[in-house]
Amino acid sequence: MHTPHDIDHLERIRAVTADFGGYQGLYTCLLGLFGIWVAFTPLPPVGPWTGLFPIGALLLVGLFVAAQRHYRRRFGQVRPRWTTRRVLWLVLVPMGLLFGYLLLMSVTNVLGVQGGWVFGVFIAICLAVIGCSHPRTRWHYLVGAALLLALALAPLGALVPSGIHPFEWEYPVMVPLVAGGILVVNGLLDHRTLGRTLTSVSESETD
Amino acid sequence: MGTPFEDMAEIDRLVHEPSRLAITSALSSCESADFLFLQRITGLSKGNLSSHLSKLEKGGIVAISKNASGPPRTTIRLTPAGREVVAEHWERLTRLRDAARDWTASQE
Repeated sequence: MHTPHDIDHLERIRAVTADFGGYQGLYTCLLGLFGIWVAFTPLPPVGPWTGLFPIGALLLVGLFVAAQRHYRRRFGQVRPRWTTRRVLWLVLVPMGLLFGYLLLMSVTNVLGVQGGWVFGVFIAICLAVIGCSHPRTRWHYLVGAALLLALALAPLGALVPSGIHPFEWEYPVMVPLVAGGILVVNGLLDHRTLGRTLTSVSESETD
Repeated sequence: MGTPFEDMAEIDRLVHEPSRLAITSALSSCESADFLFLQRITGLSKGNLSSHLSKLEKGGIVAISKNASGPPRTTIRLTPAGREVVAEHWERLTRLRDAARDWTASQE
């Protein structure tokens, strides 16, 4: 007879299998690293390290291919099941988020309060949506969303000498840097969940 | 839907064995998975996993296919009947877990 603990483990197996691609956290890490890279080497024609941008981008593409090979060789392959829920998550939710972002931009523009914080709020909402997909195994996205939201909305301008909120466009580095850092941490935690669920293979295991 | 005792009596032994339950639970959440993934899920050796998969294949729960061209790769998926059996099994397990929780709560 399986105990509730066993069923919990089986439910984690089901969650990880259903969203196998999502739990391959090294990709999320690379996305976060891309954000950090964008923060430090803004796109042409601004920024002192602009020339380094293509090199970093190429390096990230190389790391992406390496991560892909690593996951295939270490964890195997899964063909996802296209359930209605999955289609909703992968097609309608991103479209809804994009529409929501455009709406938020328009509203804040009309109200004259637009700034880098809007993008911070948008990223926080995206993280919260990912966290809500499997709150038990992806709670760290909710923590990241709360942190980013707090940083975007808190009156941090009062704490810096210039009086400008660090998420305003005057500091273009901050939002991609913080969001990138959060994505790197969340990606590593996803990768850890995957590693814990998919155990190492024991050749001495008996029936 | 029956009493917890009826549910326990009706448990499908072919699916309920821990390794096979892990295999079928994973397969019920995807279209198909390869041999390596199932090995990782269960932590079984190749021989043991093959043995469990053979039993499930004989029972009509899973279908196993090997690609003819390219690198050798074994893909496993639940058959339509197997998917129903696994879904029913999970419903039964969930009912039993809830019944156990209610019973524990009533004892306190």
